[in-house]
Amino acid sequence: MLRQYLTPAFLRHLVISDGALVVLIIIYNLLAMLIPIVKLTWLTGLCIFILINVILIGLKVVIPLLNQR
Amino acid sequence: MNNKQKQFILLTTAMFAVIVLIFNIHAYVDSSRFISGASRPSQVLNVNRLRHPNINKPSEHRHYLDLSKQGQLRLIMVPGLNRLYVLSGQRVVYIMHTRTNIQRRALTSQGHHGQQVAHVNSDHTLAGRNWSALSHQCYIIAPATVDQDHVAKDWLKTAFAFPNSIQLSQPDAQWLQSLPKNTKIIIR
Repeated sequence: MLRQYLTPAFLRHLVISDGALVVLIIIYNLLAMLIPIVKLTWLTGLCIFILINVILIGLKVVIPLLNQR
Repeated sequence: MNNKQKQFILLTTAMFAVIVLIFNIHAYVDSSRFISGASRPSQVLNVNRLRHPNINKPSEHRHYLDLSKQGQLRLIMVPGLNRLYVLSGQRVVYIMHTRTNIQRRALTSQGHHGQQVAHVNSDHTLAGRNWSALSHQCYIIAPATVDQDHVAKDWLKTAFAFPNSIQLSQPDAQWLQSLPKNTKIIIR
């Protein structure tokens, strides 16, 4: 049933945005060495990564599914 | 890259910014990460410059400052965080990884220092480098060997203990030898 929402195109978009996310986390940590903002530990980085993926999949899959019901 | 992919990246960036903002606000408001009596931005700045504890390297990714040029110099040791803060007035100028077995008290630097010292107790022979004397028969030292074995890189986790000492990495201990006489060191 989920297959109609988790399409190959959606998964491709997810991989592309995940790549951007990893780059953002790296850039942020490099920036945190220069200006006073809080540095992300690898665990916090992983939390953010998982959280954003959950939100993205939630937006694309769970909400249409709930709407349909 | 098509429009949908661009939208996805934009969405990710926006969400990253929002979540990072939440993490930053949470970390900034959480007072257990900070010491009182020092500005928080300077603490965040120096914590971000910390490297992993290494007995042979300075604690921060930067050059040491000239301690004699700092006004209102004082040091605050927080055993719970394993950190020694060097303050100039209300501003933290350097943070060091450190370990101590001295109980909560205020010490002052005595102005004399040396290269090597050894401590022998019933079980072990400990050798240290770059020591500086403090009041109450306490001292700052860089641990070097235990029973003629070199101290592990992360000396904070090793099981030996110099009595009445603040244990730092070797470059940090060498730098603190230039601490002006009668500088306050508070152990919280």
